[in-house]
Formats: sequence, structure tokens, C-alpha cells
Amino acid sequence: MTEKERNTLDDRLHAWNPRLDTDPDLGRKVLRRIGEPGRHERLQALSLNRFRFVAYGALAALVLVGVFLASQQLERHRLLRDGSYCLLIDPVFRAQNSRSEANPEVPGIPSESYLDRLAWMQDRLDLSREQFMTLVDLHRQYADRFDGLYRELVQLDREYGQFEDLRLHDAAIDFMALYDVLQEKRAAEAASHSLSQEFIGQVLAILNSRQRPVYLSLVHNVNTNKHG
Amino acid sequence: MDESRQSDASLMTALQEGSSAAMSILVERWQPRLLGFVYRYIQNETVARDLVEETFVRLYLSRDRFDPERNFSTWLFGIAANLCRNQYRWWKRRRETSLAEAPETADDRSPAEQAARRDRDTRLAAAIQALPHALRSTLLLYYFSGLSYTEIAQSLGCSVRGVESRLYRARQRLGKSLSLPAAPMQQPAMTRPGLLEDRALKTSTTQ
Repeated sequence: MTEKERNTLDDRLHAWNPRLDTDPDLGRKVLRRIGEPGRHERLQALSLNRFRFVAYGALAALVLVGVFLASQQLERHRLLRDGSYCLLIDPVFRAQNSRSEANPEVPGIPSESYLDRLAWMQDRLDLSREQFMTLVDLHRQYADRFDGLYRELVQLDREYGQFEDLRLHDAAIDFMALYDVLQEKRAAEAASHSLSQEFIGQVLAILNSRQRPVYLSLVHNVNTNKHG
Repeated sequence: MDESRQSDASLMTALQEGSSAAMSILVERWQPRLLGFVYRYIQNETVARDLVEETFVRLYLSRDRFDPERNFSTWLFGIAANLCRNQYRWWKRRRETSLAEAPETADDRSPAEQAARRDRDTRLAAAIQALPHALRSTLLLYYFSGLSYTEIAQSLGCSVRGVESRLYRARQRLGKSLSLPAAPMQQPAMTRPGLLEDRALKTSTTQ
């Protein structure tokens, strides 16, 4: 085909014929790159295993963190519940807690709700059904007296607070009356202490030797002003 | 049975079973056409050789996905076309030219005629390089790979009508760029007997 003849596109394309020698080593190069048969699969399996290892590691770490957080949550919940139980059997502690409340007059607990409120004790102390029902009855029996002492302590706290207000704004206060209030408060706190100790003694009498230490650890802060 | 006479499909089956000899035969059999296509697309000899090598490596890595019912050449050129497109995109992002190297054209004519031919080829190469991937790959597969319309369609993942349309538009653009009449194609594509132009691709292994 001469220069004159190459005047159509097809001619030009057909004439575009670069001199390219094929590479006699290409086959070997390709085989070298892909390695011996099965190498790629092994590499893939290895990287998959590595990935799997990392994934399992991350999963295990997540599970550990989850377990840790759950245990922290349970511990906090347990402390709150223990504190809540101490409020039930320690009028002084309950009165101290109610000082920050706008309305510390806590209504009495309906007697049937004790079953629910104390249900956790069954597991915690590993109580038999009979022990549990006896304990519920015991809590019901003492509830009125605990509530009465609580109300008395709250009332005395208020009266003491009024004396404090007067003392700050008007120096003229009846110190004898203040003394009486403080005496009444001390007496109520002593009564509360005695009643709590009496109650705890009654509970311990219901529990066996294995359950008693658990219960004592639960109420060891009662009347010591160290509630969690 | 002599492995070199086996069909591509049976060589692929052998490759799936771990035969490295099958890969050597496939490389020897398909390297010239593949290099011709890839070079004309990329227009850089070094990169074209790398891409051909990469094509065979990809072929090996995906050997288990090869369907013996499917045409081997469409699969092979499909891989190569994708690699070419990716390479060209990479170049475009870096604003580099791929026309740094232009190998000698097979010719035994006078120096003047050779110079004229080089100039003509350079302009043709530049015009082809200006085509978008879809048009360029279709045109080059049609003229230099020996695939039919149907096979080109399978390679590029489009319809036969799409191939016809792309080829028409590519020829129109080239004709306009080179101020040449885009004369009707010389051979009907569906009956075209294989490769048109790979005469200059000398197989060194046969020397």
C-alpha cells in the first residue's frame, strides 16, 4: 500500500503497526509473580486468619468492656439497693437523707409491697420460702415504729432548724427550749439505734450461719452514719 | 495430548487444577494480540508490557470464576481493557502524557517514506488517545484483537448495538480529527475472520 492509497481511516488503522517484540520471559515472570500453585490461596487464608484473629480480639475486648461496665452497673445498683434497704431499717439515716428533700414526709409503705421490695433478699441471702415470708412479716411489724421514729426525727430537725434561723437573724432565742429539742433529738436517735439493733437481732435469729455474714455486711453501716 | 494444541477452555481447566504449564501456553498464545491492543490503547511500551503481565496475573487469580461456556478471549480482553482504563485514569489524574515512547513501525521503505509514516502514525495515535474509553476500547478491540461484535460486547459489558454505535462514533471522530473520510468498514464485523493487524508483533519465542 503506497502513501496515496492510504487515504481512508481503515487504511490508516490497518497501517498502524508498531514493532513490538513479544517478551519470551513473560510466562516465567507471570509464574514467578503468582508463585507456586496454591501460594495465593495460602496468603489469602493467612490474611483472612490474621483478620479473623484481629476481629476475635476486638470482639473479646468489647465483651470484656461490656462485662466490666455491666459489673460496675450491677455494683452501683447493689449499693443503691443496699442504701435503700438501710433507709428502711434506720430512721436516723432516713432522716439525714430527707433533709435535702422539699417534702420529707414519706408516706408509709403499703404492707403488701414488702414482698416486692424485699424480693432481692431471696437471691442475695439464699433464703428459703419460709425464711423469706418470716422476714417480710418482721419488716411489716417494725415498719410503723421505724416510720414513727423517722417522723419524730424529721420534726425535731425542723425545730432545730428554726432555732438556727432565729439565732442567725435574732440573737434572742430560748436556749432552754433549744436544749430540750436537742435532748429529744438525741433520745429519738438512741431509740432509733436501739430499734434498729433489735430488728437486726430478730433478722439474724431467722437466718442461718451462712446467711448471717451476708446480711451483716449489708447492714453494717446502719446507725454508724457511713451509709453508701 | 499435546497441551499446546488444547483449547483455551481446557487450558483454563488445567490452570484451575494447578497446571503452571497451562499458564505458559496461554501467555505464549495470547501475548501478541494482547500486547498489540494494550500498546495501542496506552501508547507506552513499558507500561503496556506491565499491563499485559498484570492481565495474566489477574487471569490466574480469577481462574476459578472462569466459565468454560464463555469465550476465553472476551474474558481476557475484558480484564485488559479494565486495566487500561484504570491506568489511563491514573495518568489523567497526574496530568502525564502516555505518548513518551513510540516504537518503530514495521517498515522496509525509504527514509522519507518512513518519516511520513511515523508522522501519520503519531497523528493517528494522538487522535485515538483523545477518544473516551468506551469508544477507544471498542475501536481497538474491533481492529486489533480479532473479536467479533458479540465478543467485544461481552468484553466491555455492553450490547451488540452498543458496540455498533460506539464504533460508528469512534470512526466519525477519528475521521474528523484526521480529516479523512470514514469510509465504510472493509469487512463485516460478525464474519470477520480474526485478527486484522498483528503481523508486526514478532514472537521472539519462535525465533
